[in-house]
Amino acid sequence: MKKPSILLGIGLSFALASCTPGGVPGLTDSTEGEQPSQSEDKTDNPTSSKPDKESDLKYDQAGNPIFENVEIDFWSISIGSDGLIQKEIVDAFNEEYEGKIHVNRAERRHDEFSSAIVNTVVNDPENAPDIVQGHGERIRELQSQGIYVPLEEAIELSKIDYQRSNYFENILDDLYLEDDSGSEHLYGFPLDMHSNVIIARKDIIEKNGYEVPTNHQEFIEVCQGLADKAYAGTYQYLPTAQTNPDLEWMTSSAGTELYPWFMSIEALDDALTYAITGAVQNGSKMVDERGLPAWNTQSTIDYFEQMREYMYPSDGKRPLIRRSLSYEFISDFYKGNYIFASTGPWNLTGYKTIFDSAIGLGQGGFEEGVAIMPISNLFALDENSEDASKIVGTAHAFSLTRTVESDTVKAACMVFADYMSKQYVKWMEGGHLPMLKSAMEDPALLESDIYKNIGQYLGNPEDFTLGGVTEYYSEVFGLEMNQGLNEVWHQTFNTQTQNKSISDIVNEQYLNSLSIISDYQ
Amino acid sequence: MKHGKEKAVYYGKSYLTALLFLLPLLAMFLLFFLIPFISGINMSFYHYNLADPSDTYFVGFENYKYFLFTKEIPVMIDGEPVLGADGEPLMVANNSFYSFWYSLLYTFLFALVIVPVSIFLPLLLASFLKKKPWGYRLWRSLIFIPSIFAVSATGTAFVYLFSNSEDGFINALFNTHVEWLNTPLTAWFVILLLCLYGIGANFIILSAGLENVPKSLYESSLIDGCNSWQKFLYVTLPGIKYQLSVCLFTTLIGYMNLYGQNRVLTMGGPSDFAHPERPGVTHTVIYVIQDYLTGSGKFSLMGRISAVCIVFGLFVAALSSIRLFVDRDKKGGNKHAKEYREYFAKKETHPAQ
Repeated sequence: MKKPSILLGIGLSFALASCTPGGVPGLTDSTEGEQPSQSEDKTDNPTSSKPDKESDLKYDQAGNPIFENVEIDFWSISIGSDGLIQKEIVDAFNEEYEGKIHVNRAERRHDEFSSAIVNTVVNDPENAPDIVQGHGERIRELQSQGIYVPLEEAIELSKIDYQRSNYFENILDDLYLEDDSGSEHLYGFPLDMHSNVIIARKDIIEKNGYEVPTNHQEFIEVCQGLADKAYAGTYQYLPTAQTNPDLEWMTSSAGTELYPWFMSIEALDDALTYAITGAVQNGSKMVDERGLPAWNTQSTIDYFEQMREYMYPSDGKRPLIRRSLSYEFISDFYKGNYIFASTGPWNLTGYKTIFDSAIGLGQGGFEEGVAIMPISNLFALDENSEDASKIVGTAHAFSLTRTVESDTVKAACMVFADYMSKQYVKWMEGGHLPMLKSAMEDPALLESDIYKNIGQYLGNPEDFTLGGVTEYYSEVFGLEMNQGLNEVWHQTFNTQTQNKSISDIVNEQYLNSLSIISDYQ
Repeated sequence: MKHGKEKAVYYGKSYLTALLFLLPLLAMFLLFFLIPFISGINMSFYHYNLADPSDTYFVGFENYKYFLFTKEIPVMIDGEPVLGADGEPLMVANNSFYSFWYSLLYTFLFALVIVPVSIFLPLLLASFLKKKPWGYRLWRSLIFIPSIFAVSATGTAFVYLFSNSEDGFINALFNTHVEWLNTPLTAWFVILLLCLYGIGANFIILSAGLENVPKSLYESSLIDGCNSWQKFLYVTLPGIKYQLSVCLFTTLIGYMNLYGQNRVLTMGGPSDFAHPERPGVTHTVIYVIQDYLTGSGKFSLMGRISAVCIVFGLFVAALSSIRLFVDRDKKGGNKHAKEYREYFAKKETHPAQ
C-alpha cells in the first residue's frame, strides 16, 4: 500500500501546486494577469498605443514604418488548389520584402482551425500565429471568445492606406463587430468573397430548343422540359468521346428517366448554395439581432416544400432532382445525364481541361458547351422579391490574434494583409472575387484571361452576403454538425422523413438549435 | 553476509538502479495520467473557459447535475432568459443530458454485441488453426495483419465500399440502393464489420492460450469418452479462461471507448428523426466528449466535459473491476497450495479414499 500512497501524494502535490485561487491547474499561469489588461487596452481604445510600454516600431523620415527582418507566423485556411496559389503570392511577398518582412505560412484544415487556434493562443502562446486567414462569417465566434483583437491600432501603426469605403460594404460591414463595451471595430481585414456557381450543359439546353435560364421560373421550365422530352424519347444529348467516338448527337429512347438537376444532399457546399442561399433569396433572415436563428419563417417553409416537390412530385410531373448522396457528378455531367450542377469556382479550370478532351474542341469544347451561372435569382420563387439576387457566400479575411504584442509585428501583419488583398488577379485563379471595389474596375483584372473565362460569371460582388453575423454560427447554420438549417435541408429530402411536414421539421430544428446554443452557454 | 553500511549501500544502489529503470514510465504516468486525472477531477467542479481562463469559478456539483439529471433548460442569451410566445421563459430539451445518456446506451448496446463476436470469432479461428491446416502460418498472418492498420485508413476504404450512393462499391456490385451509413441498423452493422478488423490481438492471445492447454487433458477426456463439444466445453474453455478473461475485459474497455470507427464512417449519424433532442444514433460517449471538445467551436465547457469524463471513467472502472472478481483465484496465488494441503490432510485422515 505504501507505493500507491507515495505516487498519489506526489500527484496531489503537483496538482495542488499548480492550482491557483479561482483557477484551474496548469492553464491559468501563462495568461492570467496579463490577458485582461491586454484585452482592455485593445478593445477600449484600440487606436491608442499602450501608455506603459514603449513602442518597438520605428519610422523613417517620410513617416513610413521601418521593418528589419520581421518574422510573421501566418496560418491559412486555404488549402488545396487555393493554397498553392496563395503560396505563390506569399513567396512573391517574401521576395519583395526580403530583409524587411518574412512570412512563415502554415495551412490549417477548416474543421480543425477553430480548436487549433484557441488551443494554441491559450496554451502555447509562443507558438501561436500572429495573423490568420479564416472565413469572415466565423470571426464572430472567435472574437467573442477574445482570441482575435481589433485591427485599427495595427492599421494605424502600419500606415497602409485603408479606407472602409474602398471595400464592398455588404461583406465588410459584417467584419466590423461590437466588443464588450458596445463599440464597433474591424476584426477581419477583407480579402475576398466566394460562393458556388451553377454549371449548365449549354449545348444540350440549346439543342433541345431552350435557353440558359436566368431565374428560377426559367430554370424549372428548362428542367421540366428536358425531363419530359427524355421520357417522350425526344431528348437530344451529346455523350463524351469515350462512348461516342464520332461525337454525334443522340436521341434518348422513350421512357428515359432524366434528372436534369444534380444535387448532393451530403455536400456542405450544396447545402450552402441551395438551402441557405435559397432561403435568403426567398426573403428569410438567417439570424436575428441577438444572433439567434431566425430562419424559422413561412418563406423558408414554402421554399423547402417547393424543393421537396421537385424531388418527390405529387402532381404527376416528372421529378427534376435525383436524391443523390454522392459528391460525384462530373462524369454524368459530361455524358449529358445531368444538365445543372453546383460547384466551387476553383474547380472550373480543371473541369475545362477534362471537358475539352472529353467532348472535343471540334464541338466548341467547354466554352461552347458549358455555361457558368452565378446563383443570383436561381432559387427565388418570386423573381421580383427584394432579396432574389442575393448570394450567400463566404469571405476570407485576415485577423490578428491576441498574442501579438510587438507593434512592429502588428504593423508588418497589416502590410502583408494589404499586399495580399491587392493580388486579386492571381487570387481569382482560386475562384475568389476581390473585396476591393477598385479591383472590379482595374483593366489588369478585367482584361485577364481568368476574369474572362471564370471571374465574370462568379456573380455581382454587391449581391454577396455572409448570411448574418452570429457567435452561434455553427448552431444556426449547422453546416458541419448536421443541425440547424442544414439538418432541415437533410430531412426535407430524407426518405425516412418524407411524411414529416416541413413546418414540423423547421420548428423541431429551430428548438434544437436554441437548445444547443443554451447548452453551450 | 553484508552488514551495516555495506548493506545500506547495496540496497541503496539496487533501489537507485530500479528507480532509474522505472523513471521513464513513472514520468509518463505522472505527466500523462496522474496529473491530468487529478486536474480533471478538480476542473469538473469549475466553470472553466479554455479561451479565457480568467473566466473560471467554482460551481460545485453543478456540472454533474447538469448532464446527469437536468432534462430541460431555459434558453439563455447573454445571461438573460429568452421568452416564448406565452411570455414565459422558453424551455428546451437539455442536449447534454440526452447526449450523455443516449450515447451511453448506444455504446453499451453495441458493446453487448461486439464483445462476444470479438471473442468467439477469433476463438473459432484459433481453434481451427490449432489443427494446423494447410498454409496455417499464412492464415495466421492474414488474420492478424488487418489489426495493425490505422482505423482511419481502413475506415476510408469502408466509406467507399459502403457509400450510401449507388456509386458505392457494394451497392454497385449488387445493384442495390442501400443507404448503408444512413440507417441506424446498417450503420451499426458497417461499424461492427470495421471493428472486426481489430480481432487480431484477441486471436493471438487465444491462440497462445490454446497451445498451452495440456495435451494430456485432451487424451484423458478421449479416454473418458468426451465428444468434440464436451472437449471444448470441459477442457479447452477452462484451459484458456485467463486468456478469455484478458480478451473479454480489454475488448470491453476498448469498445466502451469506441470513437474512430464511427467517426470515420458515420460522423455520429444518422439523426434520430423521431427524437431531435437525442444525439445521432452512432454517437458513443467518447464521440460526445470529442464533439464538445472540438466540434462546438465553444471552449467554455471544459468543466462539464471533465465531469462527463469522470463519470464515464467511473462507469468503465466499475465494469473493469468485475475482472478482479473473475480473476481472484489467479491473483490470490495460494489457492492451489491450499487445495493440495486440504487434499493431503484429508488423505492422511482417510487413507482409504
